[in-house]
Amino acid sequence: MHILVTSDGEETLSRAVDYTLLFADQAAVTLLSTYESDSDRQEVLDTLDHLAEKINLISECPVQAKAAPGEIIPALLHEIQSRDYDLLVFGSHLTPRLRKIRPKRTARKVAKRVTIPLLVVLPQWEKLEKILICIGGTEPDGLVLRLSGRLASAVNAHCTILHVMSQIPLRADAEQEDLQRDAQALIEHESKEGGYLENAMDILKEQGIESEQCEFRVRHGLTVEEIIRESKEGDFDLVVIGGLEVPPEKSWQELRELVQEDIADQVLTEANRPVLIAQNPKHYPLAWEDL
Amino acid sequence: MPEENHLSEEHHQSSPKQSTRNLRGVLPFTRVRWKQLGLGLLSLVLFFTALELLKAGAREMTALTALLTSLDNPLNGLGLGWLSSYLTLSGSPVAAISLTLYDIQSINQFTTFSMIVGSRLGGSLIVIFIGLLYVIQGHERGTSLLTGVISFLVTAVVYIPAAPLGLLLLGRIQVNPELFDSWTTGNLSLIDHLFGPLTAFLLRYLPGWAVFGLGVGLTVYSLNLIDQALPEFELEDNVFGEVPDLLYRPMISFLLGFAFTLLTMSVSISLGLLVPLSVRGYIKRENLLPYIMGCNVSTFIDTVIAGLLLRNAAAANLVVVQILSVLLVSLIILLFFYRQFQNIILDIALWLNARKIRLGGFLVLLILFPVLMILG
Repeated sequence: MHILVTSDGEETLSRAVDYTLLFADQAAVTLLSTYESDSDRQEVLDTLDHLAEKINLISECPVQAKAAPGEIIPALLHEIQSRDYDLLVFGSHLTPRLRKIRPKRTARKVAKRVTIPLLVVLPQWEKLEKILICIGGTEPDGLVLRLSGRLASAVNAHCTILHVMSQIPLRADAEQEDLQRDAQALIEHESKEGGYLENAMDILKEQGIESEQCEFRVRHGLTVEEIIRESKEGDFDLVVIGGLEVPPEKSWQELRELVQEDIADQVLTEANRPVLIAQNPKHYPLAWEDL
Repeated sequence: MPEENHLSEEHHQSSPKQSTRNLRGVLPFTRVRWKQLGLGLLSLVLFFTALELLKAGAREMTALTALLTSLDNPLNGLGLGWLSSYLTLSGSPVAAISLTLYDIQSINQFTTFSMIVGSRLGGSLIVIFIGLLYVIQGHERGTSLLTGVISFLVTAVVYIPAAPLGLLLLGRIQVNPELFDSWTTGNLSLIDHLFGPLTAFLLRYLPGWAVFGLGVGLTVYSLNLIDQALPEFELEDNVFGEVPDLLYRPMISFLLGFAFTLLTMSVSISLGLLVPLSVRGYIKRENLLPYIMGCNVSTFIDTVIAGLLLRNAAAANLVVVQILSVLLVSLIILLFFYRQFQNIILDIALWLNARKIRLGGFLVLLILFPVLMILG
């Protein structure tokens, strides 16, 4: 497994490395940072060397450090093209210059540009004990659950599978019982959503998660708001959600991406904790078995 | 490595399903029916005749003219339009009648404007009343009324600030009258020749109030006939089969609501188009609000047609100003306050819908409000 670790600043890079070491102790790690001028180059290389030493002390991960001139986004895109990475860990400031108006601006730009799993790490997070896995109203996203399962299995974390019932009845004669049921009742009544929750659990079990290590949760309300609310109330250490993907067989790819709502982007914007956006690389399979 | 391939393949399996497309055409209806086309033309002719009857009848009704003169201010107009739409079970006929009364100068442009706003508010409440009928038939309250309550709240929150804005814009925005004249003169003179004698005949043998009543009835009937004449839309079976994917972005949902209502000329039909998208009759909260906002802009299309049929450029201009003001308020909300707007509307709707007494009180208020406005 190859992990690329980078950030929007020196301090956040260090935090991203710390967080990566929580779950990856054998993966190949590449550290990437950028410098604005030649005079900064040596300082950046020293920082990277220091972080590489830290990784070598704590884990068995082979480390490579890279420094590139210019902005971070072009540099990381170039790096991703040069090698088949399985995960990008991006250290982000929680409140950059524009603070509440456009939080995590660089991280969001990265999320829109990369097509590999992206883990956005925030500075203050130092543990990975509780994972919130968000699934939608269709058949569970296998990638989201497999990546979550691998992570949870690696660190023995507790998983909560969350589904938000955002629907309201449109027709006057629509049945509404399922819209008010909790997770257990949905499963007992063999509703569509209950079936999805059970399927999700099966996929997690395939990744080595025990039944007692995982629970279901159903909330009612607006999707993004309820995900954020649950992540705060449950004090989760990581939120996992599927990325916006337009199937390659569809025409007008760019237009579709433009007009479709990106829930992952909204969750990334509003969550005050690490977020893993699970998305599949277009040209190679992921290798997460090293976790 | 088998595991690597497994991850990748599984993900492809979870991709959204391919929709079945009807490739008979790019338009969202499956076939053109000549019978419907004929019905459409007939309904337009009847609608035109209804407007003529309304005008002729109202001119003869001195009592009505006196009543309208005494109610001649925007607040009264709002109440009158609102209350009248309860009686006709739709906003469109009342909007058309308002324009007709303006055409014969029984009410001024400000009252007309407010009456049309009131008619749309009242019209959106009809959905709740229909829901109430379902409750009486034994369906659960939440199922039957929530969409109606949301629909009314969205309409009220957009239209109420749009009304003073529109009143301010009246007189400042003027659509070129020649645009109306060039279209209406040629197309309507034939209908004039055919149905003008009918109006004269009825006036000779019936009192003014009866002709006016006939006009009201024919307005309601012809607008219903227009609904029947419209082609049947089958969203699941055609190129719009991917609509659910698009509804998530508020602006796209708004545009779809706008476009579908422009095609169907009815908010309720337009909302009904969403039903096939969910087998179980549900819709995501996120998708519904901007869709209704879009519907609320283009729902004025039949009132524009009424303005054209009346051959009154000022009346048509009034509706255009109405559309612009509602569009402007909707866009401001969508671009700057959408999240807050969405949360407030949904919170209020769910709060009202949670208890019978709240919903009952709300409905009583909605009947009292227009009455108080007329008396005020």
